[in-house]
Amino acid sequence: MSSRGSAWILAVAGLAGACSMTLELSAVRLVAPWFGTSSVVWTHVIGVVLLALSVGYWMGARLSRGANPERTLGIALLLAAGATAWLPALAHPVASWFRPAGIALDEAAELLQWGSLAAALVLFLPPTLLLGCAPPLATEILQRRSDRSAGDSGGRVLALSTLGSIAGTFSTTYLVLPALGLTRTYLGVGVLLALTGIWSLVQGRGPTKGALGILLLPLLVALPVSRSRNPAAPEGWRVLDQAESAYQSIRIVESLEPDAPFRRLQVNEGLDSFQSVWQPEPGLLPDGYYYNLFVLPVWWSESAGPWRVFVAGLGAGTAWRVLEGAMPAQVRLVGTGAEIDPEVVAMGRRWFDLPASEPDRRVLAGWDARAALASQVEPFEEIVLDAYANQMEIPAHLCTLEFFEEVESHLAPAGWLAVNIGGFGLADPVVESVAGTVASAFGTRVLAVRVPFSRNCILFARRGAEAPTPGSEAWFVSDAGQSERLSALSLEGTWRWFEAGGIGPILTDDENPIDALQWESIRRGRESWISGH
Amino acid sequence: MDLRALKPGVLLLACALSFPVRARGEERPRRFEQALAATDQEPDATSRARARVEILYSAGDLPGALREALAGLRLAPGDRILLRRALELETALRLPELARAHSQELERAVRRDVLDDEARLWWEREAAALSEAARKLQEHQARLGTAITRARWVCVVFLAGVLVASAALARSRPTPVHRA
Repeated sequence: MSSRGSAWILAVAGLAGACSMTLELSAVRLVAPWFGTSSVVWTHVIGVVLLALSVGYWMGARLSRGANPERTLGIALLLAAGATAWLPALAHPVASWFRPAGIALDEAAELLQWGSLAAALVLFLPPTLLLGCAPPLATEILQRRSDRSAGDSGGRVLALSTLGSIAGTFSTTYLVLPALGLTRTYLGVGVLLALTGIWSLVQGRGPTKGALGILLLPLLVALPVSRSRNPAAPEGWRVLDQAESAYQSIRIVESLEPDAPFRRLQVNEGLDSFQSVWQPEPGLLPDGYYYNLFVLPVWWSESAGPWRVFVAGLGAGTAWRVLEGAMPAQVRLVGTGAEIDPEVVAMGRRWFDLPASEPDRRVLAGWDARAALASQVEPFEEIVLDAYANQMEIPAHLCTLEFFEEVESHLAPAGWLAVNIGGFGLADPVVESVAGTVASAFGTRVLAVRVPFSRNCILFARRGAEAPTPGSEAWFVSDAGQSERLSALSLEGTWRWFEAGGIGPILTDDENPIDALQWESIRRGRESWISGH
Repeated sequence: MDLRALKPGVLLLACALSFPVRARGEERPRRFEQALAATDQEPDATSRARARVEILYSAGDLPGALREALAGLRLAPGDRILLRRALELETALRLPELARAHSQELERAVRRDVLDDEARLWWEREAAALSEAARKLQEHQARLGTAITRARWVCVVFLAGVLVASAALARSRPTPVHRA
């Protein structure tokens, strides 16, 4: 066999590897509007893909013993092309079937687990299984045509398939998805697989034109009609803008109330959460928004100069907007913010009045919060930690003892850390564990406060000092409106002190069960509303 | 969950919450604390529970308000005002079982209590609206349960299919290899 003759089959193996990785990496994005992109969803998608590939390899091994493995390979690739091309259209009905509309975050835990697994099985098992047939068939073809040993043929196919997978991995995240979006990515993969399948059929001299037409029919029908559809905007809201970034699906929704326009930035939204909010005037948001509590440290400190704030998880800049409109008049906000997703920053500039180039507002777009903080030289009066991933997960590296020690080292003396945590009350396992970890890092007590009309809590810690005790003289401030809110926060049951080495496990870079704690929090969820602990 | 969707209370204790807000250096504005403390002076346990529910609700402590309402209902199980507020809170906090039980209890209380025509009409409408909300919450819960069951079954069927296919592959006799 000529090297050109063996090159095509190795190219097919490489392409199948690339397509399977594109399919896998896009898969989480495809179901994200319904199930999010938590580690559970990733686990299910990867697990299903590996299961499908495993069975596919086995099937391919069996099928490779036939008289015409080229033809079998072509048929498998054409079927995979059809199954892949229909994924955008099928995602909405399949995912909606498993996840009814209007599910709140605190009731979704079990459904997210089972629903995401079921959706992954229905949607991604068939095309991946068919793609799994390709490597053994390619190995067989190579061996028959070139008289190479089984090991030599298998090794070459594996090498090319893995190289293809690497290419598929990087190109999907950095190039294909941001440039083409989900629908065109899947349709493109379908077309590529179909062309490869046809080439394999030509090499195998079959099947007939009629049979080829039947095999191509699913793809040809899918091309004009298969389109991905995200869940509709919540009732009373309209979608202003949406985009696919390297990290997530993003959309801006605006309330339909003409007198009080209000915007939210949602990421991978299928549930009831949001990443940033905007109202026309800077300042405090309505009751229930945790951002309002970020302004308390500046009032408690009675500062008169510049107030340097670092926001880890800037989003579209809501924390800054609340701070600048609700701080004492004599204080000037000097903000630095880190946001890992540059597309979120771009959306913030387009729709949320996020400043582009003001000297007092420095946006570190594309920066991980921990790396961004480590790069800062000047100390801060306040560091706000508002970083969430996958709608409900605090990123593991942003809630460890080592990270909070780093945070403390970047604070001015008596500077503040304010942490936003989603949790069900002050006995929530996530709240207990993160608060205990912060207290251990700072060596002082940490105050946890429940946000009124919300399931969020805010932790306040200080470098070398403590937050004022709720209800004490120091608790209330000179602003009447703030003091009225502080009155509500000083009621028994709405706040709690946490000591170093508290109740929950101390989270470290080495040992961090935050994922398990977050699922436990959601599982216990509503029961704790009644029991109070 | 958007807890701000909960309807604002209509039973605010105007007197209890009317402490003046003062600037720092003067009397501290502890209006909610003072309002709660003031309820201790109320000799009637049901009235005290009603007052505490409203104060906690106004302060944004919805779980606390619900716990207070439930405690009050243990003392006065048929109290319409506590039942109404408990139902609102249970709907907002998505607690379908409690909401269902209390909606039935409220309807019974409205039928049983002696009320003038205008009050009866108002309470009947209110009970009907809250019962409808509780019913929708239950339906929602049932849909959720069905979706979980459906997802579980689909997982079982698919995984069983994979197992069967694997077993079939393992058991089938290999065909002779065709070599050109």
